[in-house]
Amino acid sequence: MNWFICFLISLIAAPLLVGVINKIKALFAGRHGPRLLQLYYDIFKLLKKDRILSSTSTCIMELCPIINLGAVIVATALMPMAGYESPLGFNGDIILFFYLFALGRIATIFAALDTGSAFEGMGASREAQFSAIVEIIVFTIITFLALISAGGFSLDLLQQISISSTGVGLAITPLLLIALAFLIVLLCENCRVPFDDPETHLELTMIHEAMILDNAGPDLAIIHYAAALKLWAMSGFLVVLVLPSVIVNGFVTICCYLVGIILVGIIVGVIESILARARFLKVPQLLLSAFTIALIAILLLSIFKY
Amino acid sequence: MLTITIILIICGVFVPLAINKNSHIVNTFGVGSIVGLSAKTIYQTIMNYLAQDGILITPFFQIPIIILGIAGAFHSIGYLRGHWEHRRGLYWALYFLTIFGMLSVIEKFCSMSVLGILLAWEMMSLASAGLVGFDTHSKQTQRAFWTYLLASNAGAAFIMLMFAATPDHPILWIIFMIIGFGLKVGFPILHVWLPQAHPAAPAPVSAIMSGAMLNLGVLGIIFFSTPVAILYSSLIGYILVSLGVIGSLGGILFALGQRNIKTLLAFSSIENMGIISMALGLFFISRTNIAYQTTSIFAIAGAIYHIINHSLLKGGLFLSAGSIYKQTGTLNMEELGGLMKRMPILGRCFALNSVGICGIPPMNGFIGEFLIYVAAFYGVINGNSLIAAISATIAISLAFTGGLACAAFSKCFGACFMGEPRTEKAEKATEGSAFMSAPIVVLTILTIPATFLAPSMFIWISNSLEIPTFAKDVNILTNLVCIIFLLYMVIGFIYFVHNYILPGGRKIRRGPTWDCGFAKPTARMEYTGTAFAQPLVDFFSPFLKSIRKLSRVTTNLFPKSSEYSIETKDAGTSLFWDPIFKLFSKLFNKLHGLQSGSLHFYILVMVIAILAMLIWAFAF
Repeated sequence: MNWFICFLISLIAAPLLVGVINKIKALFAGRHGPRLLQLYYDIFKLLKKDRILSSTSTCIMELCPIINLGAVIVATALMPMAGYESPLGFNGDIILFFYLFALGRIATIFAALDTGSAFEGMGASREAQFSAIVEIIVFTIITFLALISAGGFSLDLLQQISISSTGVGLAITPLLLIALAFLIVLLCENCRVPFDDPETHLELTMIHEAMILDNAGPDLAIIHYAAALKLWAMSGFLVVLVLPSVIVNGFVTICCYLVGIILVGIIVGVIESILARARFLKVPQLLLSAFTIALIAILLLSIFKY
Repeated sequence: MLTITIILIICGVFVPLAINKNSHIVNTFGVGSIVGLSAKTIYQTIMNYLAQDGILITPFFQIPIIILGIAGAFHSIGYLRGHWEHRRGLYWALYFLTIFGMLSVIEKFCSMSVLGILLAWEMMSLASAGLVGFDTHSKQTQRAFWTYLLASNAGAAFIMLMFAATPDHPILWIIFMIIGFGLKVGFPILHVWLPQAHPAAPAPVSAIMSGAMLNLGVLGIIFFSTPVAILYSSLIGYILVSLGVIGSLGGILFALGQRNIKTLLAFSSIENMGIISMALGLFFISRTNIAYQTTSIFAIAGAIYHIINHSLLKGGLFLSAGSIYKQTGTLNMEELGGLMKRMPILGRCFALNSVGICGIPPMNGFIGEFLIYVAAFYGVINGNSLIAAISATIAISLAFTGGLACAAFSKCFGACFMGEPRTEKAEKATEGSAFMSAPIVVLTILTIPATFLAPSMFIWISNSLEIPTFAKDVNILTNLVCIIFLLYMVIGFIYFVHNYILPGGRKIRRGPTWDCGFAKPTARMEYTGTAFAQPLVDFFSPFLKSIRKLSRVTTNLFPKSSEYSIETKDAGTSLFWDPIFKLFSKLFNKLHGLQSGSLHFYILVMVIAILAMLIWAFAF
């Protein structure tokens, strides 16, 4: 029951996280910035509009945003939240969790190529390149989690990891390294600075925004919402990874969980404010360094463990 | 049974050869004999199953042959229309012999008769070589034919050597086995024939070769490792894992750099065979140890499941490539584009199959890879350090392969089917005959049961290997399949809401693609497939060694047209085999002096040879 409440909160509050990030960025820039609920207004405005589709495009363009949203919703439904296990969880769901994001990504790439626009092709090409490297980091992180949990590799076990590792103490360093690697993955997957700039409208410098140039109206609303929900789900993963989740009572735990997610939003906002977007040629290096961090974490853990 | 076989051979080989021209009768006999052969095989397998006789792993290898054999036969009717009219009978005879050869290889593997295996193997290789070189006019095809023939016969030679070595010399046995069957599977360095033969062969033949024939190499390795398995299981495992990791990553990287659809698919086959041999290797490493029982079950189940999935998906993709070639006359993806509107059925099937072959849910390709991931992570969990390290390597390289496969197949699908047509050929394409589309549609539909039957397949695979299954292992798959079903439901629900509830009077409007204010965007402004893959190809250029050519750059006031081309050639050929063959041809050139034309010299050589033989005969 408590899990369902969390799930509903996630579905409803996901756009809020984007608002928090934008608010933090505005604070750093000394502006008032858009309202916290701005994304809700945008989504509702877009839902009221007509659908406009490119005359070049086919059913792929109509279907792919929907597939993307479906994949992200199911992935969110796999997440344990605030210490409560997802009813859908099973041993190995962590693989499915990340592969569902891959489904969303390939759907977006297909839809981008469907318009036949050079800009969208460019964005799709970059997305394909970076995501291939991100996959390595993600599965290194899962390997680490499998190694540390020593009993299975479901998302639910993530919570027990944090508890036991605080007990062990030694395992905290590798765990923090993994959290850092995952933060980099989160930034890349959700198209944040230093990988992509969600603000810019110069097509040549964008990835995600370039891929959705031709989507309008309800389709664009779906894409925005799916992006926000994906950010929420991945932030939730990070929170569960780092914060020890001891169920004290339902309300307090859920509040702690939400505060954690907002904290991730604040961290992302701060990173976006103080960093510039990296050159595209440097991005693979940044990703490979995250991979190295994850490998070092595995190395440290195996030294501590054996 | 023998009578039926003889009747089938007469119907499948002699009748088409006797008529040997394009007519419905030949086509009917061709397809009919394939269907008959399949029915006979199914009947025999069921009988064997009921009698508890024979090795039960074989159905997993017979199913792809039967499905792709029939699908390819129907596709051939459409594909061959207007081609090789006067040699139609020969095509059907060779086609029948290829399928018959493959099925008898499996049969002979079970009965373990050495001569039978060699004969069946040779029949399969020769018949398919005839099909690879069926287009006698093209020089490239002829080269592919010779490469393929050479590779197959070298493979057969190594299999003979393996039998000669006997399991008493286990190391030799293993080496010859890996090379002999590896030449068929397409392990790295041994893979040279794949990227040449697949583009050259007619599409239905590529489909059965990639989808069904490569599997037989895997089956060979599974079967013939048994005699030496007790002591050397881990050794075979290490070899297979390292070949698999190199093969999967290398295969997909080279696939990225290709412009020809069928070459891309051929490299992707190398990748998938790499994945399968990784899983198989993990099985060999972990099966000797009781503590890793779960790993070994999941690894072998993943390997076999991936074999079936790869057959269905790659068969569909190769047949689609054939349809594209038939309708447009080109396989170069830079000359295509916009086919989704012109060939809607084919486009949808191609999209689904591409997603599947990348191992993305909800398609069946994901389930095979999922099983391998589970195996690898179980290896990590309760590993001693070595198995844990190998498992981690497998998991990470599988993930990287998956990511690169997404890039390669979105390139292929995007360049061929999306956007506007780049040439007139693509502009005029149509769906083509139902004989060509129907098998592709059927293969695509078959992926759905292949997805949802995963739990029962898992039980079946482990039963056929006589490994006990535990409820918790099966539960993983049951849960997975349920969630995939849920995914379909959620997507369907959103689709329903989006299209039927939300609109409320809102219209769908069509407009041109946004191109920064360009009034008339043309197909030349589209992103090409080469451009799409360029960042990754550049990033891996130290391995790929792509050849770049930039010609006619003028720095004058009025620049003339210039050309830039980039080609990624198979490194296995250019870096490994070509130097070796050049070296040998140099050496043999030196022997040219022997052929001087003087009779005295020849007699001298003969006398020396006879003397040497005499000495040898007496001395030893």
